[in-house]
Amino acid sequence: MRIKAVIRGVKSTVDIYRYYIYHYRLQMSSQNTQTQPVKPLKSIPMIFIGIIAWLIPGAGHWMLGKKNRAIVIFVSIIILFFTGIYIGGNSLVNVTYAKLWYIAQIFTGLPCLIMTSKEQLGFGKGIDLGQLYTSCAGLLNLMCVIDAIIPPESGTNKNKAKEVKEKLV
Amino acid sequence: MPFIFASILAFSQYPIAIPTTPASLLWALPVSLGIAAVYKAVKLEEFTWPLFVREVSLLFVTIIGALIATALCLLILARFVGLL
Repeated sequence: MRIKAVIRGVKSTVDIYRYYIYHYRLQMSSQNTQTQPVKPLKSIPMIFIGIIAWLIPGAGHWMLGKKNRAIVIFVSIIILFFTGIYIGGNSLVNVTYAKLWYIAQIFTGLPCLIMTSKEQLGFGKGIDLGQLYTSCAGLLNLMCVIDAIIPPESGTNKNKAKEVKEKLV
Repeated sequence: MPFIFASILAFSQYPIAIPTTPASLLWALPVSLGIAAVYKAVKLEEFTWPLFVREVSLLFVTIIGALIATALCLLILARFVGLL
């Protein structure tokens, strides 16, 4: 009985992977023929959108015509970042004494580059919380950059994915 | 603009003192709200403000619920092991 259950589990896991791989290939193959619901991406180089989206949180989405999303992203990330600075102090974004945190913080873009410090970093709960806030802001901006540079899937792709899923089930 | 920037630099010269009290756990709320807002701004297929507010509220409550559940599990584990 147990062996049967294990085999069934493995089978369903393989099915899930098959579904995702098929969906991914479908998306890749139909990307050139599908019309995107946002501004045409061909006119703006992807690398440029990526750099702008990194430097100014939300700017990538703004360039793609998703202005409401851009406003939410900008306001949220800037508030998170500067709340972190308020909690932890000016020397929080520290390239010398907090290198690992800095790797996450650098994804915030311009705010991080402006606030980068080399002063001696203190310790305490305020510093820890500040690092958490600023790093969260950086990692969220990284997610937004990735979302801006990878074209979103269109409705037709979703329908195809549904069909594939139904077939597999 | 330089004035605003200078003000930010001035008011945040030193870290603020956060005591180790139960109230200090409330600092998890703003970061959870920020995460929920950005995540839903990226993930929503059709962006309308009422839908966005609803989805963000739901995710925010879910995050807080998950935090509370984790805390309870850790508390039970600590009691079971005999740390408390």
